[in-house]
Amino acid sequence: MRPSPALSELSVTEFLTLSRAGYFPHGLVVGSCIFEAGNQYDWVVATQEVAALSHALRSARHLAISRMTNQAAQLGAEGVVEVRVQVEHDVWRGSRQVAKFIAMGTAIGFDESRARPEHRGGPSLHLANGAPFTSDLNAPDFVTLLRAGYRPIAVAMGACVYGLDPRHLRNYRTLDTEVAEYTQAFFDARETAMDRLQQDLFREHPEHSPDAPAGIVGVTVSESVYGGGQSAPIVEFNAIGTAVAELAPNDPRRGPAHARPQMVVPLDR
Amino acid sequence: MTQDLPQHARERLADMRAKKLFTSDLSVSEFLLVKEAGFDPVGLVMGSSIYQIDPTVPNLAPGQPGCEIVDMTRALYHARELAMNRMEEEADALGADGIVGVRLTVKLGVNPVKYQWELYREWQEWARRTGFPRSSTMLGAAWQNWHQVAGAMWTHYCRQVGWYPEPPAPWARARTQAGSAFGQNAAEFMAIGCAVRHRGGESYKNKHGKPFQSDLSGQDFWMLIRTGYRPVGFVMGNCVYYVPPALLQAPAAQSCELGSYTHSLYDARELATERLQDEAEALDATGIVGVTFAEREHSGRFAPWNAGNGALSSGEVIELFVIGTAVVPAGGKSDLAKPLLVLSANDMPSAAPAEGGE
Repeated sequence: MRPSPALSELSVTEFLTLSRAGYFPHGLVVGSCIFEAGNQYDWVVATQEVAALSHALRSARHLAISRMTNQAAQLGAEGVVEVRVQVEHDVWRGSRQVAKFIAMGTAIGFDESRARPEHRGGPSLHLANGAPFTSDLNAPDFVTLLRAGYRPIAVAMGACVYGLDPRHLRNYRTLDTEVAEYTQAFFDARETAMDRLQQDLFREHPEHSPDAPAGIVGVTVSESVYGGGQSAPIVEFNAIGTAVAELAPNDPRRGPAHARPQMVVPLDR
Repeated sequence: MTQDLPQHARERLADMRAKKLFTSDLSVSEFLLVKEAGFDPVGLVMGSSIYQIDPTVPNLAPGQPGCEIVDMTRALYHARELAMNRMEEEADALGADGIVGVRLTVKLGVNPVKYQWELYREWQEWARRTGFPRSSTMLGAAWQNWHQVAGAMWTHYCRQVGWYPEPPAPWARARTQAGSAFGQNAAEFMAIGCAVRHRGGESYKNKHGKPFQSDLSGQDFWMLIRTGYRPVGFVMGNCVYYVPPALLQAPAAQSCELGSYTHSLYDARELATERLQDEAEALDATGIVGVTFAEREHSGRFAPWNAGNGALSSGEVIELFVIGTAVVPAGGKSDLAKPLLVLSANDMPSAAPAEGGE
C-alpha cells in the first residue's frame, strides 16, 4: 500500500525518530486554493471586522487543507504531519486582491511488518470517518505526543480580519494614555480568531463523538498587516494549533506510565 | 466575569470550561513537563493594550545632568500592567492557579517617513541585485518620489521576463509586524501565557488571591517545582531616562569615559532594579529568578527626521526594563536526579530571539 519510493521532506533524525515508532512516510502532499477577495475600494474605512475577508480566508485555508488530506488518503496514509499553510497575497490588474494558499505536509502511515513488536496491534490513527488526521507538529513532537498518550486529530484554524480607522489617533495627540478603540479592536480580533478556531473544530468533531478533541496544543496567533502608510491598515489575525484526543489506556504506543523525565547535559558546542 | 474583556473572550473561556477543553501554546515537551510537575494546562490566555505615548522631553538648562522622564516611565509601566491584568482576568475566569510561560511583547509604532525610507532601501537593493544601473536608483533629495520610479522599473522588468498579470513588487508585499498599523507614537503591549491548574486541588494563588504568573518556560517551571520552590508572581521594573545631547559628546578629542552618560545609564538601571525588588517584596518573595534586562532606545521618536544620529542633536531617551519571576521556598525537598551527559546527534538550531520580544 505504501508508495515506494516515497517522497518526504523529513531530516535524517526526524525520519529515524518516526521509523523507530513504526511510522514511515507515504509522500509529500500538497493542496492549494486561489481565492479572490475583491477590490480594495469595496471596503469602508472603519474600525470593525471585515467579515467577507474573514470568511474568505477561512474557506480558502480549509479547502487547501482538505485537498491536501484527499491526496494523503489516496496514498493510503494514516495522517499528515508538519502541515503548514503558506499564504501569498497578490494585487492583480484593477487592484483585485488575490490570495494563494498552499498547504503542505508529509503523509505518514504505520507499517505493521517493520514496527517493533511492542508497538504493534494498536488501532489505526485514521479519524472515525476514515479520513487521515492532520497536524502541524513536527515528526519528533508527534512521536512524543503518542508516547504521552495523545493522538492528533486535525489542524484547527480560525481567522479574523479587522480594519482600522487611523482617524481615531487624532484624539490622542500629546496624551500618555491607552488608545481604547485600537486596543478593543486588536484584543477582540485575536479572541475572535481563537473563538472561531474552537467553534469550527467542534462543528467538525462534536462533543461525545469518537474524535472529540481533549485539547489543542501549540496554539499560535499570528498577524499580518496590509496597507498602512497612506491607506487605512487592515490586519489579519490567524490562530492555528493541533487538536488532540486521548489514546485508549492500553494502547501499545503509549510510553511507560511512570517514565520520569531525565536531566541531561548536552555536550555539543 | 468582569466587563473589561471583549465579548468573544468571554464566549471562548465559557466554551472551554463547559467542554473541558484545554488549549495551550506550549510545545509538546513543555506540555508534558508541566503535566509531570503536577499541573494541567487549562488554556491559552492573553491581554493587550495599545498605548499612546506623549513624546515630550524635558527642557533642561545647559550643564544639567540627565533625568528620568517620570510620565513616560509611568505610561510604559501602565501599558504593560493593563495587558497583564487582562491576561490575569482571563486566567481567573478559567479557574486557573497560575500562568506559565508568560511573554511580554511590544510592537512599537513606526514613523511613516522612516518606514518609507526602509522600503526605498529595499527597492534599491532589489534593483542592484537585478542588474539595473546604480545611478537609476539614486534619487537624492527627491527620494520621497521613489514609488513612481520603482513602479515604472518593476513594470518594465515584469514585461521583460513575461510576467502577466504583474505580481506585486517585493517592497509592496504585506508586512508581518503590526508596527505600521498604528501611528508613530503608539505601541502595542501584549502579554500571552498558558494558564495551569494544580491537579491535586492545592491552591497556588498568591497572597492577593490571584493566579501566580511566571515567565519561566515549561522546562524551567518543572525544574523549579522539583527543587522545592514555587513561583508567586511576575515582577517588573522600568525607568525611562533622558540624557541631554551635551553629555553624549566627549569633553576633549581623545579617548575617555563619558562620565555623566555612564552615570545616567547606571542610575536608570538601578532605579529599574529597585522597582523590581519592591514588587517582589510586596509579594513576600524570597528571591527573583530569570531576571532579564532590556534596553530600548526611544530617541527616534523625538527626532524622526534625523533617525540615525538624532541623539547627538536632541539627546537620548532610553528605557531600562527588568523582568523576573518572584519565588518562595515551598518547604519540599529537592528531588532532581543526577544529570546525565549526552552528545546530541541533532542539528542544533541556533536560538533566534523572538520577534518583537522584550
